Amino acid sequence: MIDATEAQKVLASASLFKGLSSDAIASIAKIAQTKNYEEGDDVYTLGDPASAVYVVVSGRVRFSLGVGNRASPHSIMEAGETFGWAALTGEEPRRVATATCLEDTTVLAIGGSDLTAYFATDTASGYAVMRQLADRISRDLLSALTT
Amino acid sequence: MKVTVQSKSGITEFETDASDNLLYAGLKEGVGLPYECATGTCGTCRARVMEGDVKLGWDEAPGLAYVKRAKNEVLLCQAHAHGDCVVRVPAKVEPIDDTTAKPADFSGRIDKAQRLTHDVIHFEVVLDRPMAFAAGQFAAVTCEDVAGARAYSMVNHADSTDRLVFVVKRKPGGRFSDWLFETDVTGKPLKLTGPFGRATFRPEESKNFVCIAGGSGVAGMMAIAEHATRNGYLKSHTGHIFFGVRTMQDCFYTAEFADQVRRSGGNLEVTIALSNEEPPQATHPDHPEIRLAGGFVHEVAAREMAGRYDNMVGFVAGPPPMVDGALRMLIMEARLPAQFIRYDKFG
Repeated sequence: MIDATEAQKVLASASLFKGLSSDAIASIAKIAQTKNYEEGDDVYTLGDPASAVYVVVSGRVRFSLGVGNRASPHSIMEAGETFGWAALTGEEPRRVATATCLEDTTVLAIGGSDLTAYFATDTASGYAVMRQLADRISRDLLSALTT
Repeated sequence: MKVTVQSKSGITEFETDASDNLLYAGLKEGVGLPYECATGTCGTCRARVMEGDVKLGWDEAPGLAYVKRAKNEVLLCQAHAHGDCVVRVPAKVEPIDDTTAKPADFSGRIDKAQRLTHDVIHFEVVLDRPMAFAAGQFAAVTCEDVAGARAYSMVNHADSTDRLVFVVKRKPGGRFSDWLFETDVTGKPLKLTGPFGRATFRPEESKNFVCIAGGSGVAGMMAIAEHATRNGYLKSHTGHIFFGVRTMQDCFYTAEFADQVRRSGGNLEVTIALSNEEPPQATHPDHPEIRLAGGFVHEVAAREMAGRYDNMVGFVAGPPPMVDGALRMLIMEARLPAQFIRYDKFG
């Protein structure tokens, strides 16, 4: 378990939440849950319901989108990085990737429906996060096309 | 030498010598170590050396991107013991069940090699003794002239056979594929270890199947179709194969697929998807048993299979972007459970 101050610090450093106000970060920290995993544990696997987005607090998570053999630096998530953003998209989203801990790892798990409900009350923050998300999806698509 | 494996299932031991890597040595002894590609690419067989002298064979294996060498992490498929050792594997390690063929070493000789298109070559290997394998499995292949092993799926299938058939697409800078294309390889000796892989066709599951493949990823699908047509499986199940290539010039194995469709009694459908040109007609000009469609193969499969996913298992193989697209389709549209979506992790 990490305290509220540290949770806010981690969230403020995450690229997905870049530029959000300290009030918004504090609100998101309130709906975030700390989760601890041992080395080798899966945070989620292919086909699981995509219910939460994750921010790495400590440790390393290997994120394998579909075929897992692309030795891209972006496929290993370290402190401050965000993964699992499918939880913010569509209806009843499911995982098309597997996230496995390469060492003992702590993450903040933020429920996708909780986060989108919060953004409905703070649309400026929601807009900023969706812009970040759009940029990331765009980069992933470009990467897939050039792999 | 004794290898002790600490895992989430407890402690397991097996014997090895320095010539075998730890993954192959363990699998040969029936120890179910985690792996996918078995040839240093995917990183799935990552482990930590707790005690003993263990050295890496191929120091530039792409899968080493997933290990921290400062923490004594290795890939078991590239690690050789030089004395008794203890390794920790961050996964469950259970015994391999008796119904699965354990991998073993084979010697072989290339008996036939034939270019199928400008960048695809078919070759057949005669082994020193028969190998038993499941449709969809692969072997690690090495030749004297090129360093490192390559994982290739068997195109053919028989319960046990001393002839293995492979198909390889030429990759820019691919040393093994360059060797196949630029050398008179007929008669050349090979070393093979196998079979490997869990993306297999299991008739006992009694499921209809859909296969989505791009390029040489069609190898395992050929084996699945061969198994299903040979043992009468398609009398009571349906099979759907979608094979993606760029243009008509890039098609191969069309006569073989047409033969399988004829032998299936009408329950096997084969569709070739052309991504870079419109098909000239609805069916293949030389083999009307094969359908033609335009578009990326996973999009064609999604279009043709909509509403037909009852009791289905899906197989996917091919270039990474194609596999990603097909997996998304099988998860999000077909809503197949993860245990019924099978794919190999090599691109």
